[in-house]
This record gives sequence, structure tokens and C-alpha cells, in this order.
Amino acid sequence: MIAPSSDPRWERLRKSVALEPVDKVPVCLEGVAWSARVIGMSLKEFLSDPLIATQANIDAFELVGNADCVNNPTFDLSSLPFLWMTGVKRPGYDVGDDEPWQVEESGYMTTDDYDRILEMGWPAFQAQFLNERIRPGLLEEFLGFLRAGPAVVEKVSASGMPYLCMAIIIQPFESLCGGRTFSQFILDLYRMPDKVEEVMQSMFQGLNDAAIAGSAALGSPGVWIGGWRSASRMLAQPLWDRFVWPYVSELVTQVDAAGLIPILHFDSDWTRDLSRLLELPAKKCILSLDSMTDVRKAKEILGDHMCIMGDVPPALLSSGTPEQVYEHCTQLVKDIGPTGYILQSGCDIPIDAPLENVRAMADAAEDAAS
Amino acid sequence: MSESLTTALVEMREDDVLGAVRAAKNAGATPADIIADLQAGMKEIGDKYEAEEYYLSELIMSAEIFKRALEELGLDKSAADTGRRGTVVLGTVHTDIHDIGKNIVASVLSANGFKVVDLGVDVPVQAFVEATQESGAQVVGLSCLLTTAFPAMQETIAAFADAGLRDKVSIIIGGGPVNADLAQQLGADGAGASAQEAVNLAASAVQGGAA
Repeated sequence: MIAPSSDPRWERLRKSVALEPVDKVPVCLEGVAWSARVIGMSLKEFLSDPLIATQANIDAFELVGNADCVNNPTFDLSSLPFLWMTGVKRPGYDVGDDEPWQVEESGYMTTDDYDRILEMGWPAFQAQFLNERIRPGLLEEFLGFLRAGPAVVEKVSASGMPYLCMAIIIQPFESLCGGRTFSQFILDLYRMPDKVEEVMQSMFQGLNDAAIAGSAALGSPGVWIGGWRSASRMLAQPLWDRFVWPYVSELVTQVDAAGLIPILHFDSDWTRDLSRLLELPAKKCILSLDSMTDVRKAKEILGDHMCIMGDVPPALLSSGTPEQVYEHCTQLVKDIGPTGYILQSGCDIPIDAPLENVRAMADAAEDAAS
Repeated sequence: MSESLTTALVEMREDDVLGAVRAAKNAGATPADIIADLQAGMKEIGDKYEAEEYYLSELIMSAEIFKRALEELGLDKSAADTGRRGTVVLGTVHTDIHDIGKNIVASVLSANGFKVVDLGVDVPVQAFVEATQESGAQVVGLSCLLTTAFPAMQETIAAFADAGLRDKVSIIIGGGPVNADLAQQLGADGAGASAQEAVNLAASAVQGGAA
């Protein structure tokens, strides 16, 4: 949750989530790799220490000047294999020092692993899997990242930069799908649905308890609930109803019960199932879209129910002119805002987005308010 | 036409499809007839996808069933992708290794009667040109997930112009951050937001329409 504050940026965020009128549509930066690039830091250095990544996000935020918050104040590459059970090509190791990281689609997980998960339990299986099949020491790297949490929050608080969340949590679908590869996992859903469901139910027990409790202890306003490959457009309705929605819904309940904002980071196209989101608690969630979901349809269906965030297209931020970005964002503010809206890039700001384009995004919100 | 075979495929009943293929084969149907029935099913599945009755999962599962049906006939996928509807050179451009979308597009194109020359990922610019010259492809599909790969897409498109091939092929781009505006900006002929759109764009290009 976000407490009432004398800082107008925090107030805008609080009111946006509560669907109260705001003096200006808040602007959120989801920088990550872009933050490093825009301040002239290599990705290898950015990823070398969570506190270095945090400082890069603070510096990039200050460089833009008139944004209201960042989404995640830090980042560590070990979090991606932990979430998606697959390898990642790392800057400085597998690709050049300043080349973007790339997630592998290699199928580290086999159908035999479903039985192993049931036998071992998810935590033990995951620990062994990460270290033995992806990379030795990977789990310890991730735990080190988690241990840096308090220092990250201290650094961010000292800077005064508002932020939305410190942790990403996911449903079993995303981990299994990442481990199996998208296509193979889809075949599993058709060929062995009962087995997959048994595994999902088994691993879901307590899956995100530590992340939610940790976020609350750190004083984080919200928690990301990630949805990438589980998007509506990816799945037949019966599959989505059975393997996605019950888990997403339960995660929102858990996060809300902890007093945190569920931030539904939904990439790809969720348009078909937007009305299902009406089942979630009102005026508590943020729906973050990446430009693939019909954001205007989202506003029409959910505008009185939850805050919408996004969805400036990455291609526009990367390849458009500042004028094009400004025009697009001005229209978004008009159509989706001002109440219950946070202007943000669709997913991460692309690493190659010019600073002028990100400033144009922030300027559009500011100018619309004046 | 075997309606039971076609219907079983449309309804994703894998075992029934394989059983119907075996039955048709034993009854003396030719592989060409059986493949035609399967492709009629793929066409119907594509129509349902367009109508938003079906989604990506059905495209993937049906392409897999199609592949297994060919194996049942003792054939590999080249038996279907004879280029009856045209040839497509496909790949993820240089500097990008993502291949989920590209692989799905390859499967669905193949199951819909296109010959697919899949060059893989991180494909050098010139490899696209050479594969097109060798295969006589009418369509080139360029995929990426990273916005940093946009320059590689543009260089690839420019290489076709340099080789004097630009007006002989339709170039379609696809991938997470790709849209029609970008296609226009990069000089491509179209952008496919899904595997089924790729099929439609390729079909349109082969028939001489704008991609």
C-alpha cells in the first residue's frame, strides 16, 4: 500500500491506485537496462551488484527529471532463471559487455521432471535444477540478490525516489512453461493435463510466501505478479480457465491480504479475459500493459475497478521521434487518464530508447496537467 | 475428403487423427489425399483463429498433430511443405537469438502448405539473400524480440535491394515489439502479429497482393 504523503509524487500514485482524482497523471519509469545505457554504464557493470543497479536507476530517474517513480528500483539477472527455469545469456560472459541479455528457449526441463517435482517438492527441485542444470552457484547468486534488499531500500529511500515494488512473483504456469519451452508446454497441457495440474497445485503451496512477506517487511508498496506466456491470446479459453486464472486470482488475494498492491504485469494480449479482472478486489490493483492488450478496452471494462499502467509501445520509444512519442502519450493521458492511470512504457523501456523520447513521455503527462 | 479426419484435427483429437490416418491409408487413400484432408483442417483452424474462437495453443497443437500424421504416413514435413502455396525464407535476424515466435510461424506455415527455409537465429544479413536466391522464395520473414535488432532488420531489407531482389520478394517482419508502423519505417511490406497473420500475409504476397 501507499500511505498518504506530503510528497506529491507518492500522493499521485496513491490516488491513482485508489481511483481518486489527481493533479497530474503520474509517470513511471521501468528502466532496467535502459537506465544503465542512458547514464553510460555497461550492462556488465550494471548487473555486477544490486546496489550499482539501484544507483543507475536513481541516476536515470534524475536525468529524466520529471517522472514520478520507477517500477523496480533494482535488478539482478539471476532472478530470470529463478522465475523461468531457463538459462540467460549474460552481458560480459555469454555476449558482449554492453549487449542485451537474452533468455534461452532451450527446454532444460523434461516431462520426467513433473514426477521429480512431486517427489522432491518444488523448493528442493528448483534448487537442484538451477545449480545442476543451468549453472553452478546460480541459486546462491539469487539469494545474494535477496539479501541486498534492505540496502537497496535504504539507498532508494535516501534518494527520495518513489518506487512501486521490490519483488516479482509468478504462477506455476510461467515457471513450467519457461523450463519446458512454450511449444512443448502447450503440448503437455493437451497431452497430460491432469499431471501438469497436479504439479501446479503441488508447487503453488507456499510458492510466493517468502517474496510477499519479504516485500511487506521491506516496506515495498506493491508486488509484481508477472504474466507473460500465460496471456489470453496464447491459450484456448479452457486452458486459461484451468491453468492460469485460478492461480493469478489467488496470488492477488495473497498480495492484497498482505497489505500490498498487486501489480499485474501482463505482457502480450489479455484482451479476451479483461472482464475476469472484475473479480479482483476493487481499487487495489494496478494493471500494467505492454501495448499488445487493447488498453482502451481495458479502460472501458476496468476503468472504475483498477488503475491501468502503460502502455507506450517499445518500438515507438526505440525508433520514434520525440514528437511522435509526445503525441502518442498525450492521447493516452487523454483517453486512459487522468483518474486511475499511470503513464509508463509497455514493459521495460527499450535499451536503445533515446533519452529525448523518455523525456517526451514524461513531458506529455506534465503538459496535460497544466 | 474424409470429414472425420478433418474434424478430428480441428477438434485437437490427436489419437483420433492418427487412427483416421491409419484407416485411410489401409483403405487405399493416397498420401496426397490424406494430406489434403489434414490441410483442410488446418485451414479451418486458421479461420477459427481469425475469428478468435481459437488461440495460439490450438495453432501449436494442430501443427504438432499434423506433423505426427505425416510420420504415420512414413513422411517427414517436407511432404507437406512442397511449396504448393509458395516458399518462405524465415529467420531471427543478426544479434537476436529468440526463436519462440519464429518456430511457431515455421510450423504453421508448413502445415498450411508453404515450403519453409528456416535459417535459425542470429542470422547474418547475407544468409537471407543467399537462401532466397537458392530457394526462389517469394516471401522472406524476419523475426526479432529485441528493439536493438531493428537495425539488423533494416540492413537485411537493404541487402535485398542491393542484390536487386527487393521487388521480387515480399518481406514480412514479426516479433514482440514489431508493428505495422515499424514495418513501414524499416521498408518492409508488412508486419505479422501472429502465426496466422504470417500465413495470411504470405498467401497474399504469393498471390501478388500487397503483404
